[in-house]
Amino acid sequence: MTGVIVITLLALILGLALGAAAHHLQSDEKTLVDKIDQLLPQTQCAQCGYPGCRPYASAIAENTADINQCPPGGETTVTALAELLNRKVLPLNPEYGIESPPVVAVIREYECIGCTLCIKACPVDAIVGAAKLMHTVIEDHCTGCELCIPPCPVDCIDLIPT
Amino acid sequence: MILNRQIQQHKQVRGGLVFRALPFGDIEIAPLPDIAHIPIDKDSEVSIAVGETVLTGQPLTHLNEHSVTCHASVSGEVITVTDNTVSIKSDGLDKCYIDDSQQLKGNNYQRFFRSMGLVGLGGAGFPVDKKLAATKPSTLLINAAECDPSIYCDEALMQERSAEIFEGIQIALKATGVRQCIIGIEANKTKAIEQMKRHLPDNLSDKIQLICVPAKYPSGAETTLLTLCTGKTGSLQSNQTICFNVATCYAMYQSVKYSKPLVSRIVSIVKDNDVRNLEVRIGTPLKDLPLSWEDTQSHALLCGGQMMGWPVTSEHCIDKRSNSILLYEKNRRDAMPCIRCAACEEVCPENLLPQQLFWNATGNTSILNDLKLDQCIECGCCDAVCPSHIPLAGLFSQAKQRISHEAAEQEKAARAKYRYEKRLTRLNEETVRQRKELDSKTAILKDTNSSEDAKRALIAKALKRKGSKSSLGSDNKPDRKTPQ
Repeated sequence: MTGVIVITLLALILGLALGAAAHHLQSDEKTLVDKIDQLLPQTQCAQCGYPGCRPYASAIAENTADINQCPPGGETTVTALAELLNRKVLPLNPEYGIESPPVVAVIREYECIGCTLCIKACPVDAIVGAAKLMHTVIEDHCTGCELCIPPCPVDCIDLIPT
Repeated sequence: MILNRQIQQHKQVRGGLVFRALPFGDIEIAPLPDIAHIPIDKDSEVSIAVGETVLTGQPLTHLNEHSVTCHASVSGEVITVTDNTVSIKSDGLDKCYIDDSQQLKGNNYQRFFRSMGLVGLGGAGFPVDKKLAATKPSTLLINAAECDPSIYCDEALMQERSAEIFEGIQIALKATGVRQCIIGIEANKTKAIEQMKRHLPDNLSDKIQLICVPAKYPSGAETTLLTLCTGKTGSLQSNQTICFNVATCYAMYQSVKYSKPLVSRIVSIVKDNDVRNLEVRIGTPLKDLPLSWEDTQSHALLCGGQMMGWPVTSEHCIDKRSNSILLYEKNRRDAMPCIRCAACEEVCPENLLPQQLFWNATGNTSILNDLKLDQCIECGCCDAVCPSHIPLAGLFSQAKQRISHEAAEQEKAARAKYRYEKRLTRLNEETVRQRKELDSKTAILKDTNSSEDAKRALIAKALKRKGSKSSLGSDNKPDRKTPQ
């Protein structure tokens, strides 16, 4: 009887200690999603079919998306992802776009009517401006995601290679 | 105080290569070019127009904060002006430009050197005023060791104009506010050492130390020279040291004493075993120099020395950085596989492992960082000794560029990620706030217990908002929904 009690108590104490340790001494190791996210180019262009780089990373981690859906990252990203996930290197899926040199968006300012539609579309808040006032792109922050192009009613945004 | 240190004393400096020094004659004055193509700094604004007549030493650009002024190196007519060059057709008279305002006023050395177009003449061409502005030095290091085995221009200058060099050093001491000066000179330049010793001013003998360093490439590299002269390691900045070349000191003297801007420099022309030192006007095309260029088909040209030089054509114009022009026979040696002989490791002056760097040059950045690729000074010693003729320094340079490019991309990605996440949080907060507002309003309307007044107030507010909106709309465009 004593033996049973001692063992039960011991199991209880150790269990609690382990639980506390797991809670307080969490490992710094990044999750798989973080690791995948770090390899993506962070253009947030949604060309992969997901609303941003992180959602795409989660989809890859859950094995619901292939690793070859990121045109801005191109071959380099596919290779890096294949290495991380121990998968086969695939050619970029042309369904999602083709690899092209990096670009930045530039607004032809004299044509801008100040509709703020591009400001709302920009995933990284790289466009400044206000209603009925001229807008402009902060070149340093622009990722060249092209998301501002379709909403522009006067087509005054150009993509210029960097 | 004159110290003759022996090579054995410098155990902390290893590697490097010893080259045979060639004999050379006096400095010759090169004839004026027919057309001088003077390079213009990209930040400066040209102050003269096509067709204007300029005099030797006349400023071609406006004085600004960011770049040194460029000057006409010959007198004559301006024939073309582009973004980066001004071409002047020489009238052959070489008339001098005299302007009293071009004098040193007070102690404003930085502005004065900038207006005189002074840059470091050792080869890197770093503006003198920026060097003065960057550090608050305690030691002045004078580089009297050539940075490349096929450069002789500083040695020639020391042999012939050492008194002027010391005048220049005194100016440099004043401009930097430094008390102590070390001159590092390579031990095999015996004539130059003799001349420097002879002209060392008595009143400065306690301030200036002349130190002979081993004649071993790359003794003339700034950090190596500092280690050889003082035993200190690390960058110049961290050792509070400022370094000037002897030719730069000479140019300082010319500018302060005679208000003469930098319009010419001494260039070593090396072909096989023949060395000539010419004083050439800035902007002179190589084809105008009095040399035999007929064998340029079989020979190639290198500007800046045999170890770290870059290939040029006979169209190249002498600029402030061109310290030597080397003609060498074109015999391209194809690279063969590395045989792991480790000859490169023995000569590396920075204590690196070039062989390991070579194997990993295209690989992982963290390995290259572990191997201290960033410490490579690209001196080319490893190239020179490699029995397989592998262009190691070139590969390391490419690897460095790749790493810095990758780092820039990563930094940009991190910034984009940060901004994207911030935006998402902001949008979420906005939606939550709007929903709360809506909920509180509908709660009042639905609540049977709430007073009629509160409901009326809400309705009135909504009507007012609607009214102000439609009046705004009627100004420029009619509301599409309301019938005309």
